[in-house]
Amino acid sequence: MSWTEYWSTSWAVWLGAFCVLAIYSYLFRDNPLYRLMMQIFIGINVGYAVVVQWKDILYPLWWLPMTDGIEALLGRGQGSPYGALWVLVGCLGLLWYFQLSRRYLWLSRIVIGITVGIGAGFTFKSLFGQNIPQVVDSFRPLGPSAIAVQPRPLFPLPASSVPPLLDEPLLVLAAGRQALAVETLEGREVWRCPLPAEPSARLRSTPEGIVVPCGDKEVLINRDTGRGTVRARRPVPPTLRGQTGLESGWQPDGGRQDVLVKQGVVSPDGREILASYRMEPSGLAAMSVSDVDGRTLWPQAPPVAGSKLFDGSRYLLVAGDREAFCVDASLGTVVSRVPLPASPNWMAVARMADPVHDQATLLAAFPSGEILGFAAAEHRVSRQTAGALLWRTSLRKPVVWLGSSGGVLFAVGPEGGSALELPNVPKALGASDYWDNWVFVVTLVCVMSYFFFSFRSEPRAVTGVRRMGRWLLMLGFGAFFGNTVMSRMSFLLDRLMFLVDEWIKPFFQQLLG
Amino acid sequence: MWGWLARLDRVPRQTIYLLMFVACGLPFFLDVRLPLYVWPETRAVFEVTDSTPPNKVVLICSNWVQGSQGENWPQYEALVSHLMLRGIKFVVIAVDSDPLAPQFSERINERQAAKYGREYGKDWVNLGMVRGAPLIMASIGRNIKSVFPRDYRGNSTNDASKLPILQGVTGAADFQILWAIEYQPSLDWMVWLDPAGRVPVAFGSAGIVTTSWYPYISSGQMKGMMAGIRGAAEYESLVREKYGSRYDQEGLRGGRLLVPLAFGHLVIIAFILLGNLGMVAKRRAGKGGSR
Repeated sequence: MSWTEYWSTSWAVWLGAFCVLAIYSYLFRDNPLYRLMMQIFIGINVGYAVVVQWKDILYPLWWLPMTDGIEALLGRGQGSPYGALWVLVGCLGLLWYFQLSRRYLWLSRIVIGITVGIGAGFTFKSLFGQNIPQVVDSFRPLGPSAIAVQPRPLFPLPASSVPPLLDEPLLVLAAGRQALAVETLEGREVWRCPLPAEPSARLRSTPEGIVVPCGDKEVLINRDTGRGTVRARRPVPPTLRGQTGLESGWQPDGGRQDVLVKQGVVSPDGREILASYRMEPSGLAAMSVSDVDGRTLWPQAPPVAGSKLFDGSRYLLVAGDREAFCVDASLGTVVSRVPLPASPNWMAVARMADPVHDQATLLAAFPSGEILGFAAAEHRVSRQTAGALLWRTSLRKPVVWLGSSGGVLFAVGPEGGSALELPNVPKALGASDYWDNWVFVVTLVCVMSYFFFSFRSEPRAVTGVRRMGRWLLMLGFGAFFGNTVMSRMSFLLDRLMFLVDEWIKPFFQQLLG
Repeated sequence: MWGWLARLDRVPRQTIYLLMFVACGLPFFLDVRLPLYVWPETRAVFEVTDSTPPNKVVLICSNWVQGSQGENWPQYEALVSHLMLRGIKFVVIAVDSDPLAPQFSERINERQAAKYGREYGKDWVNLGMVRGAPLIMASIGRNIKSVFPRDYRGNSTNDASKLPILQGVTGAADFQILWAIEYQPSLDWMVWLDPAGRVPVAFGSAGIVTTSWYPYISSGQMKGMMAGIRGAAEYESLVREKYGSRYDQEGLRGGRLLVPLAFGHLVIIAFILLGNLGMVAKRRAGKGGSR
């Protein structure tokens, strides 16, 4: 690069470097060059900001809608005539300038009053929204709790002799010679439909309605009215070994009745993949996961064994007599392994309604009516390890099916069931957490004492606590000072980086060829 | 000896500044590396951002300008380079900021997009600036397109051919995370954007204010943060750790500024120690000062 080309592109950098050094010359001592640069900088900044304020803010967001609105009012434009109301905004804004007049000062108070009123309203809500969670969080356990969390019963559910169908917002159950639908929010009955015979297989959801198999016939029920149409039983998707549910997209693979396939499983890196699993008497024996191009992503089978396969949405649940495995369907890896007291009737994975406590809970129901909840995977918020037992409860009647929606667990059996609210799983606290909480409480008490008990005469204990409070405050201020230094130095480093990378290095490269 | 040491109490400020300049400037010419421990608050927000599904966008409120670019630039560029690398869609806005804020963010967006071959309108969009917080934050949470009828380049936000990224994006339910990057981000984001608290909130702020955010991280109101330059360096290291050589770090500032920052801190700590030593020596030498 010739020197002419260099100067044609680098003059702005030299000017910038000169300005930076001129401003930093103040660190040596105050001087006219520094003052000149400071004034120039402020002037340019204000001038530029005024132009940008008009070009990027006032013109597109106020002037254009207002003029379009006025044009529309006059019947000459295509815009909305309501845009003309922006004139009022301009008028209200201009009232501020009556601050300059003693006689009409009161006019400016109108707009000041509006502004302060709105600001106070917003601040009120903001303060509550910001600080109430802080108050709640300040109540911290100082030792392990003896009370375990429990699901809370919400409302009873009717009996179902076959696994019911969760078809939001309805839960459809079938027992005896009738099918009935309850809504999932409060358990109220929505409709009831007579059946020609007792239900013989699990209910299915189809685009036309809900299908209840009854021997060699089936009833197609309208979702909205509950009106049923009896027809000859059509070929149905085969029931796989175990109690695999088909709600979340898992389907038998064509003619293969022992292979489960799901398309569109989202892998952790965001790709949609095709997952295929085969169930054998010994357990989940072979499987493959491939991307849309057909490339196999992981051919090996996870080392799990069991006799029942359950649908856990993005997980597959494999259960044996004494243990169960939760397999990530997109990776084929075992996420968790849980011990069981017996072979489960049903397993499912539930998610919490509250995103902060969005714990994937592995549910297992047993013939005795007992239901166990495990952490399906490691949960960072609650810090529960994968497979940890979170809670246990019992309905005291057999449970043949579990389902969940929005943090509510539905447990149903031939003698009735119940809807239960899943509990927010508390944090798994360790010794360091209790230590932190004690430090928090001690610091709070000491610092409050420092501010509240600064009297001439006070008990010796209070004096000690108060003195400690002062030391703790100093520790806090020290941390604050450290961050202040980091910020101030960052600004210096930013300018140094400019000087080195854009000024000194290119100049010497040009100089030395 | 005390008399000689007492002179440390009167080191001219010009000497301190000169040493600071040398200490901070030297690492720019040397290849020095320092080990970096990633703080949990940075890791938490990295993980949430990295797990953005294809049907969601990352919302970035970029309110910084030249006044805080020393810290906010490295933070913003670390975040945007991660999003561009992964192909995560993101929407940039500015709320009640300096009117120049969209210019600063867009310059970085374009540089990173050129690196990874990303396209404006498809992979990211800059909606410019709007005023009216905190009410406008609630409106953004309800329907962002009603707040920004046009983007920073003048395209209609309802124009599916020019801004396909926004088709399917309505409000809070479509945001994976909100990043507010400025000198001191507004706590109002936690209250107003999504009153139900479904959208995790992350801040990229100046180091001077980071201590204020810890109570909000502890209570779960905030997901995490990037604390000053150090936070940016940590974020870059997390992306590098996960994506290896696919992550082009050319021009990124966080990791590069960390070493000069550490050198500068050493100088400050050294002068604090020397200054205190000088004060003690002065008292010992009986040259004034109270005991």
